Amino acid sequence: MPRILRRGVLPPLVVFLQMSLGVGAAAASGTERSGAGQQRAPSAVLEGVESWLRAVNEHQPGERDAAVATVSRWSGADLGALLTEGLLPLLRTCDRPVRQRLRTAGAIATPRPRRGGLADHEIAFIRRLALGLCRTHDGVVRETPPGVIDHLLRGGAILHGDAAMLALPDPETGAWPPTGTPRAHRPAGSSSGMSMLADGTHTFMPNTAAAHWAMARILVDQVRANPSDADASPARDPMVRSWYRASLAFMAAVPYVDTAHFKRAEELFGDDAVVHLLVGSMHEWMASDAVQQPMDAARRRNHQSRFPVGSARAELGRARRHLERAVRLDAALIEARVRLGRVLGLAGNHRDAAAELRQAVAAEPQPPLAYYANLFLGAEEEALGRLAEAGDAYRRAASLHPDAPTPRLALSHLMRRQGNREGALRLIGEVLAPESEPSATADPMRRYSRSAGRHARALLRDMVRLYLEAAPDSRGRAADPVR
Amino acid sequence: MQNVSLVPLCVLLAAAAVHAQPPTFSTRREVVRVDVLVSDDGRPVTGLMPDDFELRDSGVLQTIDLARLESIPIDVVLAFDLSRSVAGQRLAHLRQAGAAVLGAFAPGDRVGLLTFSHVPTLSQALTDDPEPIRSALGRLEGRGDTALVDGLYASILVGESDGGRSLVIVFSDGMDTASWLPRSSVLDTVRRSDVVVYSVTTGESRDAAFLREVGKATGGGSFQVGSTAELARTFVAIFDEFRNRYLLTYTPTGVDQDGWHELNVRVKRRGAAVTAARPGYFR
Repeated sequence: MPRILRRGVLPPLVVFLQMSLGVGAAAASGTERSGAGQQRAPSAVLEGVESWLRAVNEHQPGERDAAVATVSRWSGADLGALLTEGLLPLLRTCDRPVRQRLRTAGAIATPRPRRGGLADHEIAFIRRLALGLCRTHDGVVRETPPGVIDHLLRGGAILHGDAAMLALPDPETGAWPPTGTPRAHRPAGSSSGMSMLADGTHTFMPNTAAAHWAMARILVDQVRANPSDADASPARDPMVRSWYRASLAFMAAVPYVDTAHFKRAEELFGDDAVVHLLVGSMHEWMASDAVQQPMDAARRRNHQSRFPVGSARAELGRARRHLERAVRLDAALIEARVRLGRVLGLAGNHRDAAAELRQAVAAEPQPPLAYYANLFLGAEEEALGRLAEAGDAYRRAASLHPDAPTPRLALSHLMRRQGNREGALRLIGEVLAPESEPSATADPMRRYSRSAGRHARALLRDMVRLYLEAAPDSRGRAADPVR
Repeated sequence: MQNVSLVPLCVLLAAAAVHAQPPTFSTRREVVRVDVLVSDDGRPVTGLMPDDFELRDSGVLQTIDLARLESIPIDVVLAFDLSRSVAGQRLAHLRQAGAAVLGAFAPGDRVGLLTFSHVPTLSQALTDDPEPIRSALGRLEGRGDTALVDGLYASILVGESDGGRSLVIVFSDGMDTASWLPRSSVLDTVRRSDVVVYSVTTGESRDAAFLREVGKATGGGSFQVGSTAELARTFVAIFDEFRNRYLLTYTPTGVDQDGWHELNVRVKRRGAAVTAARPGYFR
């Protein structure tokens, strides 16, 4: 993959980072500060900015390369200092309109530039440095036209997104990053940027992925996409849309919750059915016992304020809102309908749930959706007292995955309910028989909670493709981002 | 409270004959079993006869056919949470507790071992030979998530499979994160079963509350231990308590066929009281 260009940056993560970590913490370069709460020396700022620009420029999207290793060593405090003392003044200088967009950036308040920051000549130096680092595969950019700035912002978002993803468990294997890989700490006391990680053992684990996700969000927030347009906005940038889809899918696959991420995704792409599906699936998961039971324990220990997870009922309501919106936006998005049916059923609205799920089954979706739809439909038919129909749905699910225990467990219980003890015992015997655990592939229900993210890798590849396609030419002219 | 169940007559007789027959569920002539613990000042009361009990089904006085103590062998299903949190010393304590139950066995008793993580697994079917159970206990290994409700459902079915006098001892150290079956549905199954369920948990959770409800519905009980080191003592205490129960049987008369049947059992002997039994049953 050719080295490509990126450029300048800014942001509002600053508020989040400053709030939780204190302003002017250790320099990104690792140099010492002159004192608690004071700014770093200009040389340290320059080193930090230079390191960041080099990392952005050299990073190969999706790779665990030296660039990711560099930024992974930076804490949230480092990132905050980099923004407030380096990148923010830099971008304010080289891109005046950015300042205006900062004020309307949305969820996060516009940070005020710190007084006493870099001198003009230092900013000019950084700018020259940035220009020197901003390269395309076919030349050096002489100026920093908006397309170049956007490209650097996108590249920075990819870099920090990769750092965040590499600090989290692998969504396919569940394996944590190798020992020694920096895992940033979760900023204490943050609420808007709260990150929560439940890995199945009912433990909320601190992590630093939140800081990198926030940094990445700030970067893509500054992408203007077709700056000649009076309505220039990151929401009009295909790569930014793709980045949100891919990052949300990754979070769903882990699963990993960052409510600030959900909120900004919805603000920018409220018209995107996939975004609503992914956010809805996360709220559906947050309503599940896997999250609610540990939350109960946390509440008993008076730690509830650290985790912005609502009650099961509240989370189901949020899930329903997103999934209904997804269905309205794209009636062909069967997964949204399946999940909507599930959520409605969990909320006790069995009649509407069954109606949604019947539609989903009738659409003959691909695996694993057909399996989920039939299983959930069986449960809803059973709840409605339509036991024959419930049995039919369970049997269809069983036929799709003959080795999966869940449909047989459901059928066993249905038979027991109908008074057929022999049938119930025979089926539960089949479930109990295997000495070895069924694999996740044998029963897709095992990975239902994270299945909404099963396309994460494909979405990430698509996002990188858009990023590369939007790379400016040697004159710094960006490809038309609005396609 | 009283512990009751609907059991076809032929099944009950088979149970009394120490599991001589395979399970049969189709007979419609039903006998109700009520598993009752009677105590006096905390000590089990022995030597009671049918005439010492007064049993009302839906308010209607019934004639008790049988009141037996100790002579009926017990089927015990050990249902162990084997999710990934059960490891190290916790797992060692669980193995010791299982072995301790084996040490309390009487001739004719049988034990089975069912484990559950994200799915239930029958590690050892009911057997009167302790060796396979010891071997199965030695192979236990925690992994996966916790499907407690599914595991409980499976253990109920295993426990009632031979129509004997069945006890399920459930241990869980965590919270259910993976069950398919709703708690309410399994509670309904429990109320239609003759199995007595005791639970042992290590902490408070929605599932601990659920298990308390299950224990109450079956006439069993629930225990919360501060440490898994207490498991062996607790399991043996449960087993001993269950062995000291009376099994009352009667054929319902003068009551509706279907629906919920509220039960009331009392002991006529002065000082003695029914301290554990299920509150009713579904037909």
